[in-house]
Amino acid sequence: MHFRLSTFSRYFIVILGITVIGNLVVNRYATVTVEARARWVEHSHQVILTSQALLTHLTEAESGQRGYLVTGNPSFMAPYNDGYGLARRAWEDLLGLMHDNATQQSRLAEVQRRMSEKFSEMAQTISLADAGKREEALSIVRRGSGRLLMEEIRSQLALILAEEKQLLEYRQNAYQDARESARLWFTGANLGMVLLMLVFFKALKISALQPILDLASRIRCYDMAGRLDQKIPERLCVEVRLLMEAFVQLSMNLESKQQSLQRALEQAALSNRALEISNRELESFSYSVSHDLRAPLRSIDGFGNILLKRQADRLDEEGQDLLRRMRAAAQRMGQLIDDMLVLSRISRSELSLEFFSLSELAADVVSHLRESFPDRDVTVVIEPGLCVKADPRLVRIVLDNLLGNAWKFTGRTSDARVEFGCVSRFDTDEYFIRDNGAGFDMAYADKLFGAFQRLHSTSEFPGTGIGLATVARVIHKHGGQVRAEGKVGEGASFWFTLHD
Amino acid sequence: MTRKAILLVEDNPDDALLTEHALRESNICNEVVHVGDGIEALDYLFCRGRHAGRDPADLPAVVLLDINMPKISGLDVLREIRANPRTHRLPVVVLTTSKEEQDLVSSYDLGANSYVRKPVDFDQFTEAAKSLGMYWLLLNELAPAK
Repeated sequence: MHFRLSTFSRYFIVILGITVIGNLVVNRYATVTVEARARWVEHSHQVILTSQALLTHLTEAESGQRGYLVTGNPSFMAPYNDGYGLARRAWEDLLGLMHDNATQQSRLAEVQRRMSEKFSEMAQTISLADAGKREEALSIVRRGSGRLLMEEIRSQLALILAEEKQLLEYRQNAYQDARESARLWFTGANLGMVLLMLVFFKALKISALQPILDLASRIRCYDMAGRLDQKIPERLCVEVRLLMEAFVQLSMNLESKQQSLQRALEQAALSNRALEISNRELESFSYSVSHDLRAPLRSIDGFGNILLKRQADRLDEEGQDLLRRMRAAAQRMGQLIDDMLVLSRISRSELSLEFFSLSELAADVVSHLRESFPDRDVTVVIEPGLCVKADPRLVRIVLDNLLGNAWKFTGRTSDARVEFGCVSRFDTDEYFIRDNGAGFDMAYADKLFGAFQRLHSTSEFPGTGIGLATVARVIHKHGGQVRAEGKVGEGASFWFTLHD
Repeated sequence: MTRKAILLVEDNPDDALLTEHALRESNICNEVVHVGDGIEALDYLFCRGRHAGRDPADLPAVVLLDINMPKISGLDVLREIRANPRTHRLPVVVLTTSKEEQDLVSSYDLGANSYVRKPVDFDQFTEAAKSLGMYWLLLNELAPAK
């Protein structure tokens, strides 16, 4: 359906406009007609009243004349004069009123002729009475021509009246008809407009309102999982169809986006699983590697020891020294294996964060160091009350290494002093471990944290070179930074943060 | 009273030799019988196969058992030992390099009397062997023979 609501509305407004204008025009015409016909009715009324008035006035004049003639009283002249004047006026009025009717006009002319005869007769008698000749006047009256004239006037007026009454009835009917038509037209026009509006709203309902409600309920049922029901109903206007199509399109886009998201999720889950598997394999590999590597080490160390003890008398100094070096090498290798295991395990493990006291942890590490090296006299200063949120197991490894290093590298320092504290800079806390031991050359500072990197020979200070790499890995796992400062012969300080 | 032997079940010949030396260092003079795998251990205990001619009543004072062995594992040997009424009460010390918690749990579940991890350092190993010997051979009282 290509029904466009906007076009339809435009046409409808034009039609409505035409209807309204037409209605106004016809209404005007009907009103005018009704008024005209009312005027004609009024006209007939006027004619009737005036005719009746004319007769009345004539009769008044006549009785005035009679009275004066009989009594000679001049007070009777008033009605005669009044009657005469009013009758003349009434006749003039009638004349004006009857300009449209030829028949009535001729009748009126008859009336006029007889009226003037009558008045001249009455005037004659009155002037005789005035002169004292009342008897003469009366005899004229007794002749009866005056009475005859009145009779003729009466009959003419009766005819005029009869005709006018008929005319009145006719005009009144016409007036009623006009009013009836006007009323019918008014009602019809209103009904017509109501009908038009109904048609418009019906069209609006079918083409727009219903489909919009339907779309609304479909959207409500849409659960973002599939696509919107594509079936578009037959009867709807172009505008709403566009709306529906837009929604269907939107739902299709959402669906495909969701599918791609789903795929990405599955992909991520897959790679996650793969990573987990690889992690586990790595873990068991590292374990079995270290386990299997240790067995031969045990043999080397053990047999070397047996040789030293049992065969001491057969070996000279050089032989014994060689054996000792062999044992030391085996033990160092064992230490290396352990350190490497720790290093690899750190990268693979998850951080389990908790609040704990760094000061207490440091004190514990120091007490272990004192136990392991009882003949060392080292002054240790630990800043109290340092608390942090981190993985305590891993941070212990950091402190083991850094404090252990400080212990080790002050081995040749008298008045050995190790400090552990914290400096707050901006809004991060930087922890430090400072010693006054052998120190190191700052030129090699960037090598410090590489694996297997050593800045001293094993004869000076023992070590595998993995410790600081382990420290760096733990710190970085926490999102922190680590750095070192040193001066040969004066000591070293190591700084680290545990957050970014 | 004839001195009872110590049965050492260990597949690594070097480790076996070191253990024997360690026991000697501790002045333990009992005979150390070394078998290289679990099957031979069971053959020895139940007097079959290579050890068919042995006296069944002649059981060792203690069995030092490694877990990680080829063919049948130490845990299976332990299970067999505990299953047989004759060897049911035989003291078994699991002497192994394994740090796996699961091995520890399984050993005790299957009825091991003790679980000892072999240290890498030989001196420590000797100390451990000495303690073991002292305890199991001298201090500990064996169940009466059936």
